[in-house]
Amino acid sequence: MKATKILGMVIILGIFLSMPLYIGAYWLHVAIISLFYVMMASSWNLLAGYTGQVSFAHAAFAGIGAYLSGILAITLHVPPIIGVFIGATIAALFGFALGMLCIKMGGIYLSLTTLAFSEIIRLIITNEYELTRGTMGLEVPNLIGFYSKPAYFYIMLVMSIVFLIIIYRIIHSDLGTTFRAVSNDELAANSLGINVVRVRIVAFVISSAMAGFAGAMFGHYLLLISPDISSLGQMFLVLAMTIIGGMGSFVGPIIGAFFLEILSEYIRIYGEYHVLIFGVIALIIARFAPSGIMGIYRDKLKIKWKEVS
Amino acid sequence: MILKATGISKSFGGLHALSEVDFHINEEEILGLIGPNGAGKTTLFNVITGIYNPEKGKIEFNGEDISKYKPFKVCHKGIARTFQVTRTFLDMSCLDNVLVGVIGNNPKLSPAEKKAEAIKHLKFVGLNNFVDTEAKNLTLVDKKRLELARALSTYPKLLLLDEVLAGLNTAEMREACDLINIIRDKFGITIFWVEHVMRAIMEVSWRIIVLDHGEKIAEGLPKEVAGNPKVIEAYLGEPNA
Amino acid sequence: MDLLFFMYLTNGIVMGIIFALSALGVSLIVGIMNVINFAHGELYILAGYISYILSVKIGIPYYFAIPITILLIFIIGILIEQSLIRPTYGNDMYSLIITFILSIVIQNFALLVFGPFPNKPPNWVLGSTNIFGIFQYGNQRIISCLVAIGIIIIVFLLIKKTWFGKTVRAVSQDRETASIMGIDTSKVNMFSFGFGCALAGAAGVVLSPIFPVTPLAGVEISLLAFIILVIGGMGSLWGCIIGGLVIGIVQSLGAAYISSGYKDIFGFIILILVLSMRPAGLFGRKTL
Repeated sequence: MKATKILGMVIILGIFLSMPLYIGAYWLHVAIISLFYVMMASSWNLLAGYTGQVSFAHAAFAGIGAYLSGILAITLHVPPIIGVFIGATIAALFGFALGMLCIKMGGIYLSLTTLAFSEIIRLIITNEYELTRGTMGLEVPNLIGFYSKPAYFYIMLVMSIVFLIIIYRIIHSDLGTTFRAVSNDELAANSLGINVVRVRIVAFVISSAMAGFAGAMFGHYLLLISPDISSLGQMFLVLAMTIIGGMGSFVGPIIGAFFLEILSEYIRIYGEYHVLIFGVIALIIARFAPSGIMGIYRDKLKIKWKEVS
Repeated sequence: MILKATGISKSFGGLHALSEVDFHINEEEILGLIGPNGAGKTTLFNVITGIYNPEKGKIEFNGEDISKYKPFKVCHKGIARTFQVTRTFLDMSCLDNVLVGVIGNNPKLSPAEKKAEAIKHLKFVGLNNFVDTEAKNLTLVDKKRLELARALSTYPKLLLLDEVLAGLNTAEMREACDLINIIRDKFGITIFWVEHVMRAIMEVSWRIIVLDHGEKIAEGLPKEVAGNPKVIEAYLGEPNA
Repeated sequence: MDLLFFMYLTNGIVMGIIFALSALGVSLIVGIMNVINFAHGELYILAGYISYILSVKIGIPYYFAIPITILLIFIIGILIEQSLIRPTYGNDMYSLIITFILSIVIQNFALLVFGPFPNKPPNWVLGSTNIFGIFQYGNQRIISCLVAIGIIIIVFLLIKKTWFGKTVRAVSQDRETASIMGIDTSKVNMFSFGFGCALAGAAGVVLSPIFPVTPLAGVEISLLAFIILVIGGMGSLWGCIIGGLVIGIVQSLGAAYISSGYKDIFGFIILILVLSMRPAGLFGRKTL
């Protein structure tokens, strides 16, 4: 890797690592939320951006992870640190099942099925009051036994970096190439010896496991989870962040997550308009610059840079 | 015989795309498939490569019954194809396009070896200057070259070409035909191709089979087939007086 | 058999017919343009809000408010098609994402302008009728159902008998040939999308006197329309009717006898069952 790239990454890492020192509790909270969305958007991008399976069930998987881990902690006193992994595993199993269910379906039908799945999960969470406290919300214990924003921030930061490294390695591996091939032309990929079913399912399992993990981690931070976490509204945020940042690129979802989360805090000063504004921005980007911010950077700015240097 | 097809039948709804088709392909020959539009030629390709399963009949490749195999398994066994309307991976570079074929069939090579393989095949078809070009930016001819490189990267024993000459000018056709012969001569790959450009397919093929309305109506040397009244009738619609 | 069963059944049929009307709108757009309009339900609620404004705020009697509303929604549909859908030529995933975003935008816009509280135009008729001497049923529901049936019949006639209908069927069967034969496919797209949206609006106009609209009410409408679409098969008119009735009745009976909290789940389960067995829908046909 180029020296400038490494230097840039080190600087950014340094900024993040030292954040708890100079930003207040409120913005640390925003940073933690942003990291949650980074995990969600990046893992969704792996499925939707790289294999072309636009699933609307991502938030539902986060919900599965969060509620499972929370319920295990409350009823069976499973330590959240273990609960998070169990939640991720169960989410992965659901992801496998959903992926298999959708395997014969193309774009639109697949999306509709994942949508139906997402709503079923939300309805179950809402209705099984005994277990989940429904819309009242479920109080779940802290991840590490004590409450400390800086500690949680570092935990989320480390997990996000781990996720991103995994995703980066996948994207730049043979698996990543087959992901893109399946997205471009499934039939041709199949005819070239690629086990398309396996590729699609692997993508589903990995992304749903990550969503489940992220959801569980986030739940043990918020200490109160509601069916909202698996709602289509949450799904929309993840989708908007990925699209605005740049679907199908590695950095895109990261940028999208931070950009939108921070933006929503500024908008919140004036009122709860942030979803509307994101929607409009996402609409404009999807219409005029479908490759998102990363696309704009690649096409316009990179060329200017080359001309200058 | 590298491939033997017996009694292949395939219908879609009420349409009998293929009816009791029997034929065989000899090792290292160039077999041509002709027939008027809608005769079932591409359907036959799709059945052989596992995109469709035959309703009746059997396909044996090197003695193995591949009738029910999925496309990727058929490819692993040694059959590769190109498509009538090119199906290159448009948003991927030429290198990545061919890399997919390498990954699909030689996954254990190191990344450097895989890349070398891909570049080797791109060079063979004349695309060495387009290694990093995205497939969507290629001309039609180059897309066809890319599909060929991609198919060859799977080290097939049998190569199916579906109207590979369509849309090419005379010089490009000549080049393509030369390439087909080189592929057979140099690599020992058996060729089974569909073509509408009569001169080319008659000149290059060793044998020809003719399909019409899903049935095989003729088989033999190009000269014999060309003079066959049934074949002429199939194309012109009426027997010559 | 308790007598309430007949009421639930009737309710299911009434709702089913109105759902079918809404599904027709989606089916039309999918059949012709291969586009799934995620914002379908939001056009429904816009119709509800517009008819509310016209009737309550401006004071226009309902028999004018209804056609005006539907016309407005038709125009909005055309505007959406021209600005957002047109550029996504052929890429159905793209239009899915864009209309999904649009639906969120409209929801939040409605939240901003109208607030979260339900709004509804006044009933066209009051009182109730005795059905077969078994139960009392609201007149508004009966009238709404009849109007819905009327609109569905008009749509059928339009598609089967008129020049527009023939054009639409031609394009949905073979777009390329249709365009070679001189049909302006982009105009057909535009009108079809507008028409599909108008049908969503019609369902909204017909249902909003019964069920007030809220900003989030459109989500369920969209989802139900998609489920019916999938069950009924893309582009099959009769499939929509049958699918609508199935969904309406199952929902009504399910909510009454099994669990009202899970009322919405039945549709989704049906959707998943159908799709997993027949990935092309039950009546899967591309032509109208």
